[in-house]
Amino acid sequence: MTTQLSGMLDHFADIDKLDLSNVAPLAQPFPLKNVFREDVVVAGLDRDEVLGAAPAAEDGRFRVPPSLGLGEQ
Amino acid sequence: MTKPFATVVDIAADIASGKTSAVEVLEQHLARITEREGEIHAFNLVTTDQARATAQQVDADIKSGKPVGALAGVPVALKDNMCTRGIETTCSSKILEGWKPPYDATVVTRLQQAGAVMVGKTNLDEFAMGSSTENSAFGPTKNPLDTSRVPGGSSGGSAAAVAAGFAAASLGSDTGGSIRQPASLCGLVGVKPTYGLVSRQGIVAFASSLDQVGPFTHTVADAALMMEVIGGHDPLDSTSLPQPMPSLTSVLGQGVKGMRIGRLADMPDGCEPEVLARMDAAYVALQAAGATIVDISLPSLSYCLTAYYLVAPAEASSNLARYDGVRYGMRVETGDLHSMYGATRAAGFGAEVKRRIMLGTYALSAGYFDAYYGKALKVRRLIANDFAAAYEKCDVILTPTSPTVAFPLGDKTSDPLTMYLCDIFTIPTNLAGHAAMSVPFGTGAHNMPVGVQVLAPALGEQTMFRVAAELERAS
Repeated sequence: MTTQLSGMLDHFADIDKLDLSNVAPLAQPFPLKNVFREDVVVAGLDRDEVLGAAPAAEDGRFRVPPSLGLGEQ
Repeated sequence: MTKPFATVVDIAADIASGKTSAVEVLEQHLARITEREGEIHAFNLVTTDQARATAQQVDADIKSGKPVGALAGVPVALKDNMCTRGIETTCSSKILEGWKPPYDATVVTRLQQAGAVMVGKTNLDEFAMGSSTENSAFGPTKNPLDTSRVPGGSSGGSAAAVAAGFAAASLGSDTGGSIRQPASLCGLVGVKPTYGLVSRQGIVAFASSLDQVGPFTHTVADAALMMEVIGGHDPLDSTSLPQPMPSLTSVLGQGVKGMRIGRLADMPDGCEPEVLARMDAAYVALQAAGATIVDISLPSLSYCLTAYYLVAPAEASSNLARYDGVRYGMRVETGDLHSMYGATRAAGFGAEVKRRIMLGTYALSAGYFDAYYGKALKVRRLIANDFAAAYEKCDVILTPTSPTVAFPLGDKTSDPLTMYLCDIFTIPTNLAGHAAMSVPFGTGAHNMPVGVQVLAPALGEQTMFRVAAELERAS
């Protein structure tokens, strides 16, 4: 995979020959500003259904392994 | 050209008029699935029971005189990166295997409201990354017209499902050509709408500034009808354009008289001669119908591949960070949180997805941002400027959809760059956010279909569909 990735980066060097000094970047075709929907109450997702699709849940929350302390021997 | 299977328009009319029933139409399609799905592998999941229940409901509604939608009883297939509530949605990735979304994508809701019958979730290149559907974690899809060849990708399963008569229409997603290229390779109509015309809510994100949903159908009229059902503003998608969906079914007969058709003066190398011959025939056909051919150039075209393969992986590396074994899909249990993230992602993602995450992360990293991602965004501006200049001279541009007809399985899997070159004609549209569609226009090498791509400016769908309809009449 290292060879493939460096092959791609070599190919991507083709844009180095372009003069881009006065070109503004384009991150998104049609930037829309201040997009808000109507301020009306709508039903959210069902919590049990969401947690039911997770690998592990407990007491209405996602359950994850410890992030500190344990696992460091 | 006669089409091998009943069209969406005919099926909907025949069911609504009582000439046939939704159950009868569904059973015909299910029978074809039983017969050929084993060799083609268009689906990750066939939803037979739900489909039968929906079809029965449609028939009951019609019998009792209730008003039904424009697609009542029409069997459709959905790319397996579209969320379907309570129905497995995998993106053809091990990392999402078994995941049942808690909501429907907006396009799924709109199809349901129109009375469509979902027959299944179709195979794709993992997370829509690929051009042949060989990158699926669940095995490749074969081209129904020649099973030794690929159907194209990444929406290869959706294309194959329609080409094989498993569904009358299907939905795919197009980030760099993933609807148009498989449509071309399977002899179908495939539409990449203007960015923001069709809601992305509930579509598993690959590259958010490029992704759009669109239909696969046998005919241009079917594609127009499907677009009218799925398109239009969605308050749940903040990039959804505020414009109402333009009527497309009403413009198909308007012809192309007086229209200016752009022809690339600087055609990139690598096109099969038979593909170029079909292009010439397409110009002749449109000229005969009263259009004028105008030579145009897109000087930045050859740099699009680089811009795309930096922008799309960059966005993907960010979007795919959410698959961390916490909220959905698979988890590889280890002692602590951080090693769990790594182990889950190492086991869950396939090679192409890992390649693009690494490429994207690299392009965005401090020290390389300006050299790669920053430059790519500037090239993106250049291609948008090229299109703006070209559309001063013409109304639409015609190119091949794919430089070649469908290639044999395994032909391009060893070198990712060769595979990426399949997208040379389709990528520019996504970078600019414009509309484009592929229309079948005869056959090329090995008697496989050739698609002509009609490119139009943003929200140029009506013009684009008029040209597509004319090409269809001439083919």
